[in-house]
Amino acid sequence: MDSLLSIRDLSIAYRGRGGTSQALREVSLDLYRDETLGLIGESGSGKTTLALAVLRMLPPAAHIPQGQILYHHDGRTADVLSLGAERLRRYRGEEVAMVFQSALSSLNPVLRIWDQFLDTARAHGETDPARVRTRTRELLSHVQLEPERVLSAFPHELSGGMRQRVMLALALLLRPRVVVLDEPTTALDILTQRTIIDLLRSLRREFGFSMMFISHDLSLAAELADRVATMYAGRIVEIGTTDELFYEPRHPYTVGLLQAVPTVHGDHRTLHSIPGSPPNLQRLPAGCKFHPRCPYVRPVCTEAEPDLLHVSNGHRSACFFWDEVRR
Amino acid sequence: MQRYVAQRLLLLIPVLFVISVVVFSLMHLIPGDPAQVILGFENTDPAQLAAVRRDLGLDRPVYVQYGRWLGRVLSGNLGTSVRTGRPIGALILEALPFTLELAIYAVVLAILIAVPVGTLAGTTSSRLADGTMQTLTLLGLSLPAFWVGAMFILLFSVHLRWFPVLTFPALLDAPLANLRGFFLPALTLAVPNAAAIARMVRASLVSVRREEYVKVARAKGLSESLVVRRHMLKNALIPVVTLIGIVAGYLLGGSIVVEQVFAIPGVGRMGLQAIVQRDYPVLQAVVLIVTALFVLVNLLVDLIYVFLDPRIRYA
Repeated sequence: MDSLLSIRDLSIAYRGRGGTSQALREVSLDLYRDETLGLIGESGSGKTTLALAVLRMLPPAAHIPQGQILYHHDGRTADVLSLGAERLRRYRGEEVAMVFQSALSSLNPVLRIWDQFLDTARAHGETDPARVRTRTRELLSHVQLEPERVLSAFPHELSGGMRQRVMLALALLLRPRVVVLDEPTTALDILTQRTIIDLLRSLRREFGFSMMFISHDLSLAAELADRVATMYAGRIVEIGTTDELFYEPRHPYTVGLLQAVPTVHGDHRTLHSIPGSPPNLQRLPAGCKFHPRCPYVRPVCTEAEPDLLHVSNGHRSACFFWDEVRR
Repeated sequence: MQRYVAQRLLLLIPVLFVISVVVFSLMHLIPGDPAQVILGFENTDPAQLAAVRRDLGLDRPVYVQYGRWLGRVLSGNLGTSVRTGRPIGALILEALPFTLELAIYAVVLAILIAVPVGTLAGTTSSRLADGTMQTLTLLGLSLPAFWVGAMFILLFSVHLRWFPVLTFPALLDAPLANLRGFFLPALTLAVPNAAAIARMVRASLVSVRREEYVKVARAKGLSESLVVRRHMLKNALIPVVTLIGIVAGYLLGGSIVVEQVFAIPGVGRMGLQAIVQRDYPVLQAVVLIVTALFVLVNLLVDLIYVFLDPRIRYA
């Protein structure tokens, strides 16, 4: 399979008042053509940092001690972290687009929706407003909005769900090959979430792009994703196909996340929460970072941190005892 | 939209009414007897005092006096100066153009200085640049106008001879000479206001900087200057317009200090002289005009607001 994005040994730290937080530690990951990759994990696990890094939109306090983000296009490879300002600007939006989580505040309140499409197209060299108009209308119809009504509206005249649909259309305006979605449904009610997920699926069928879908909600990720990666304390602790992770998780943290999700249908299992709380990123424990919360913990876990170990083809888990881990 | 404007204009009536009552009361609250002032303090003849009071209508009940005064004011008659005997309307028409020009000039200069400085301070990631700007604006706010004005005259007019001293030709006769003549007083007035506006631009930008739509604008691949101009400033300047309106309102009242330092015969100086000479009708008229202008400018700002921020349209 063709890889569009290759993240290699990426580490990111935030310098703050109380010291340095290890937001991302030696993460390697590929996003392939036409696939949806789900990134799941609690707050502070590094999902958003990873997403922002892909667009090189990290806050000024972040620094990158090591690693690469490679973008492959037409047989060429660009190193995103060393792109010049102008090439980075073109890369954002044209190659990789991003949809943020707060649908309500993602649109500029003083500009009409049309102006926010037009300035995007203009910034990327499109000079003919009529062409932008046609493309925008097509996209808005796809996300089931009335193009003319929406284009002349100000953001406050639209509901939250409508605004997030506008954001999806805006993200696809320049025909990007990768769309990064950072919890795109968090700010929405449950029915609107449903619509957005269905829309994403149909948009992907229609326009063909790869998605990196970030969520703390495993069931949402499972609906969209072909592969899922679980993140904990800045590392990927398990990665595999959605089915594998969902039905045969081999990392105790993934199991914990699954057991914390209520199911609508199916057996009446008790809901479990993962004991303890996410680790302090400024003072990570020694060994496996999950050991203080892990039901399978053994002495070795407190001393050494496991690499991603081979479980089956494509399925890997960062647990010494993955073989014993059961749902 | 039209309804909103009509509403705001109607609301002006009670405001102006209250102002007229306050201004009218001013004359009656100031210690001293206007009749005595007019006659001079050496003349204590009760018959003459009574006659003057009758002439001025001061022997009638207060509400009658108010009604008469308001009637006169509304018909454009502001009375006569008790010092010079000239009609006050004419005096104000002489002084107002100086003050108006000075105020507008100062506001324009303040905006031209404040917006770039505030934008730089509000968008730079350099703490040094931001800190320098903060210190300079604090300095601008703290220096007293009489000192700044005097220093400007010394430096730019006396030493460097860049600007003429104390010549103010009419704007229409000699526009360039006029703008040159008014430059230093306008700059003196602009300095503290520019500092205040720059600080507000900075603070407003700092809060806008964290907004999600600014991140989105960057993620869309907009150039940094477009992100700042189109997405940050357009939002950040909305509250700044209020401050500019207030500043403009104050400046229209004339600056007593700057008009005094630069010997400009504007409304501020006229008010000061009226106080010194106890020319109460003049003072009353000055306060009335100045307050009414202040209210009108702020109304204008509120209307501009509607165009700047679509969220309050028809509100």
